[in-house]
Amino acid sequence: MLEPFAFDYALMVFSSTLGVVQFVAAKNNLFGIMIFRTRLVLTKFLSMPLVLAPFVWFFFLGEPRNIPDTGPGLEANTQTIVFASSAAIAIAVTFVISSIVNHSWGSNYKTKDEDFAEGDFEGMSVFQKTTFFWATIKIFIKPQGSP
Amino acid sequence: MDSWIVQWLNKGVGTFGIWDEFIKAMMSDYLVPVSCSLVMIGLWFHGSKYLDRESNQIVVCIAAGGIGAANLIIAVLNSFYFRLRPFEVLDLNLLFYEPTDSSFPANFAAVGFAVATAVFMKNKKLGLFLGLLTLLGGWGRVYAGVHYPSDIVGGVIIGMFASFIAYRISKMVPWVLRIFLKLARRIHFA
Repeated sequence: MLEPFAFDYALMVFSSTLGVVQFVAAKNNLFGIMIFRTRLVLTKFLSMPLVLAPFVWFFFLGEPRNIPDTGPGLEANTQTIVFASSAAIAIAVTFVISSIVNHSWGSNYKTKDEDFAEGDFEGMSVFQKTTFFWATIKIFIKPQGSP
Repeated sequence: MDSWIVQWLNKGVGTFGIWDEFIKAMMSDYLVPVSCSLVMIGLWFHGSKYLDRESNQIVVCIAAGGIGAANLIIAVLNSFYFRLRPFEVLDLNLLFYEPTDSSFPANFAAVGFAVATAVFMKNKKLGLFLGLLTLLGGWGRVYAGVHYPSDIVGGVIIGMFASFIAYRISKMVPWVLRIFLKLARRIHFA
């Protein structure tokens, strides 16, 4: 179990990462990982407080944060582990929720498309056309005639 | 000179409570590392075209390598040089907890500048933002009596140098990064 301080830190990182990913997704038209897929402006607008509010809460409104890293605070290695775990969970939650919310969108996307540059269909650009779920399914089930 | 600057800045501690609270947040162990890491996450996803995104992701890898190199340099330096903190030597109003590790170099500044330098190569505004954020935190640590100005300067130089090393390595073995990114792209993580 996480100590209360580590839990607060993890919560701040989780929320801020969600906000950053939503903001960048909206900026780059990665609709497949947006929770409000058809609301670009709303997503950008909501993601900013999602990033900033946890900072304000953690540093200014919560418990004192300047505490020894040899005591209740987080020393560098623990801080790195908690950050990486929280950020990874936030990204996974983004992929899962956006796949559920947009479940009927992008199921028939093509892995070869004139809108994509050569090699582009492999990476995150697929999220301009489909969700993480459908993109992952396509890794395992190649459509007929595809290389 | 170093001690004089610390003593002169530290006279301000306790004058304005709100200002002290702001500085406490800026110099905390968490604000700069979290901000740098969030910028790295944002850059990883950023780029509407495949090539744009790939160059951003290479920058993120260089920044991560820079952090590793900076920590390695600091570990080596600390193994043969230990400098006492200003609050242990001078009569100061401490605005922070009492760290027990060496004052020189400032780890905080080294890590912040390792990321800022790497990000600056691709995105000048973001790189400058991270650099200024780190400098403000560094200034706060001098003001609070936990670092000398030369510790911050040392940290900045080490951070920039570490990023430069990571950049040179990425140029020497670019295929390592390309293979890593290609694999990540296959599962839609890059």
